[in-house]
Amino acid sequence: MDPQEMKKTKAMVDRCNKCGLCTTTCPVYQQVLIEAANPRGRIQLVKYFLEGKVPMTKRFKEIIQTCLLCETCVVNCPSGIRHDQVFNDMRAELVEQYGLNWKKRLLFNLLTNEKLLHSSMIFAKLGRNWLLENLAKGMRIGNIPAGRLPMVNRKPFRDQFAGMIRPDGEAKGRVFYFTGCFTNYFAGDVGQAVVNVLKKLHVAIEIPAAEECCGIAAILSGDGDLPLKNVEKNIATLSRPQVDTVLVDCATCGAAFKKEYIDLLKRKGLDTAQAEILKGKTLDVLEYVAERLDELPLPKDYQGEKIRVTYHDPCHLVRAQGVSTAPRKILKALPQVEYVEMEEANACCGGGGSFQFDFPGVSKGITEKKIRHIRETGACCVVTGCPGCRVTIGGSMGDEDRIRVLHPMQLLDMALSGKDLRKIA
Amino acid sequence: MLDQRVKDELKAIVGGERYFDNQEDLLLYSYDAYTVQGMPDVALLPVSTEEVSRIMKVASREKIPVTARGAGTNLAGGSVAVKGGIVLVFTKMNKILEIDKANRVAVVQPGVINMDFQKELAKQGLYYPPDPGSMAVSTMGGNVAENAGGPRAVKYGVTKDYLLGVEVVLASGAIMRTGGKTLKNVSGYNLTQLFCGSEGTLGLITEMTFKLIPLPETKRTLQAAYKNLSDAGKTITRVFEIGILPVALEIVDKVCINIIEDYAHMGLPREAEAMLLIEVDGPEAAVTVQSERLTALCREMGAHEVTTARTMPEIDEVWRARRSAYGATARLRSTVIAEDCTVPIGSLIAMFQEVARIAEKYKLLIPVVAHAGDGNLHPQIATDINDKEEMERVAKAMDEISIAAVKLGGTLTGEHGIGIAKRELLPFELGEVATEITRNLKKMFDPLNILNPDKVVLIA
Repeated sequence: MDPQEMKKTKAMVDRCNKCGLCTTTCPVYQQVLIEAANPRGRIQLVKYFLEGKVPMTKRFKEIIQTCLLCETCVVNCPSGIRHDQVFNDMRAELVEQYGLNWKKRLLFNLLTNEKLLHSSMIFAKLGRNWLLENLAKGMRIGNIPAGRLPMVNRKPFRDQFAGMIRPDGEAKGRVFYFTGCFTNYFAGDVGQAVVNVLKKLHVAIEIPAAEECCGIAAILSGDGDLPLKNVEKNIATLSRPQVDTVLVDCATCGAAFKKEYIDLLKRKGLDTAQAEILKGKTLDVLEYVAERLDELPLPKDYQGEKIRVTYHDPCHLVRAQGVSTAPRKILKALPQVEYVEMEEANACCGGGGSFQFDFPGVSKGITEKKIRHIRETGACCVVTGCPGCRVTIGGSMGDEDRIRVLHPMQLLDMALSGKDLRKIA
Repeated sequence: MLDQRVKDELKAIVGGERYFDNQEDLLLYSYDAYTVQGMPDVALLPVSTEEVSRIMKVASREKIPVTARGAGTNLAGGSVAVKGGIVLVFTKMNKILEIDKANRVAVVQPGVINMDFQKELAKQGLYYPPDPGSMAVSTMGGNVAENAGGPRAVKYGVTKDYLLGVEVVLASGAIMRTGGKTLKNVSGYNLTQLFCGSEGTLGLITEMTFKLIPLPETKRTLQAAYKNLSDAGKTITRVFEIGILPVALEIVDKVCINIIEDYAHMGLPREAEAMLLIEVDGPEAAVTVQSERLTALCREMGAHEVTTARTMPEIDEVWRARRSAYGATARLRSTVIAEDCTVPIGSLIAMFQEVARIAEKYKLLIPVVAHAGDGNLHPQIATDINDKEEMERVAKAMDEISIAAVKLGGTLTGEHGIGIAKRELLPFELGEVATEITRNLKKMFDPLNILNPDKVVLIA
């Protein structure tokens, strides 16, 4: 790690005066109740490490990694400590010392090589869809039954939609839609909904034939080298002056562009000017649409039955990007929707990327709480703008729940196209 | 260093998952919110009174120091194992055992978080008022051990005013129960209250019974900004003179207003020299009248801006910001020492001036927040523990602040406790006779001096 940055990290952890306010909202600590599992403890441990009082032991590694990076501590810290940044610094150091396990290496190699990813997804489609339908139904990946994992797109989204999609009539604006891997390979329906809605806003949509994975999975695991070329390519492509607005439908891609890229480059002692430009033009599609809601032809005089919908705040949207009113504004504008706020809507779902596979026991308790809060609303549909959250929440729901898990844009698209929302239940 | 044989014996009591003797985890149980550290030999997380009792039997047999720890938020080093030995962490004994609505009492384990307790009670229309600044974090066991106070002390008193009974594991491992569910009880000495504020030096509290009151119908929180401190000071006196007993009456100085605003972004008056927070509660009609009168009073006394929080989310936001003052002070300098001097209410402004004089004398940055309504000041010394020379000045300033409070007829600490921070000063406030009695009391309960040794009162 860049020595200058290391100094800054030390100054930051020195500022923790151990008030403990971070412990009250830390989802991991609430499950485990030991000091090593809360942000204050981890910050102190990093401080001792930087002071040379404790080496990077296996236990050190485990303590640093037993964290969802949900950033709840960050927004609640009166001293202004960026826990996420400190922990990511340490994860990077840990990778240097310990490397990554083979599964993560394999995954990140795949994610950082778009060609390889594209061709493997064709096999993955056959593999996943057939295997899970037939053989692996009873298996679990982490806490999630294999049968509840998302299906692979019949054809990658970008293979069908790449290029410039023009609206009927004159275009009111132009956006660059960065689809992300998840929409491209798994959630084509989300991509379709985004395109439908944007078309109704009369904007021209540019979708690149090839884009690089945002790389956040590798970055947050501490591997900064592997995704660096993705990061640099994305920054170069997207910060071009020809691109005004970069839209993402994935909270995590958004967090990468708005925050993680800058942190990574700083950690490496690299220039962040271009990354700052990208940050300035990135918007979550929900932010973009919420600003233009009155331009959408939503039925005004709906008198019929409504469906109850609740919203879950993804960590990477509510805390990493500070987006919380936009999705609610959209949902409340849907005539067929009765919006109900769940308790602790902004609490982490317990997924945390690979956290749920590394620490299934801790993750399970956190997810169960989230599911309980969803059930308590009586909603037939929970929406959230993060694929990770949708997999975790959807995967942890029982068949008896009959609660659909969707991206908010899917609901909006259905409402705009006059579909009877009651049918989603 | 503990014998492996003893370690194994302790491990067998709680099991491997609630036992730590590795360096990393022990380091994380070596601190609280004060500046002094102490490395324990083992950390144990019991889940029952019986486990605590068995641990104490081993500890007294082997003469091992035992330090109780809740959430580790103590500001005087009360939960730091300065003599090593066992840290007994109560975070997993966190059950609300009973909310007895008919008798208006609740029975809880020591690891229950104050705010969680309050939330559960509110669901049933019940109220436990003590609200230490750490209430979102700190445990009820720690609250009792420190006799914690908080802003609401003005109207509702402090922890001791709600404590009806305790279950305590003594140094020997014997289990003692005192008090009970009755509001009145004069059978024998008041052993219950002896443990309230005993800072873990007399026994280990494993269960507590609290008195509850009905949840007030509604409340209002006023924020009044002043261009000068003395106008704010005069308002404080006048509030009581016009016949209002507020729930809380807080004063925040300019520096603290600004650091809190840096964190909370709630539009606090950055330009003000001082800000008062005044809360009233009760039936809607009464609260409306009181808040109108208070608004008029503040304006009359020179406040240039008075706002009123009316809804619960607004009010919670105001208090969450106020409670962040300690943490937020770290925005100024990396080390914060929260003082706790308390004076008779009439001497509040005199004490403010003393703090300013001492800050000036030692060239230190000491912003102040205070529970003005009960004379309890929190000068927040902003410093840097790595600066040896400055820390010497800090130590002198801390002593001088405490002594000034006692000289004004006040006390060294209103709610944080003596711990390590003020143990040398205790005799100055208590005097020879009371110090000797305190020491004898400690010796009687803890003849081996294993319960949080070297805290509160120094033996021999």
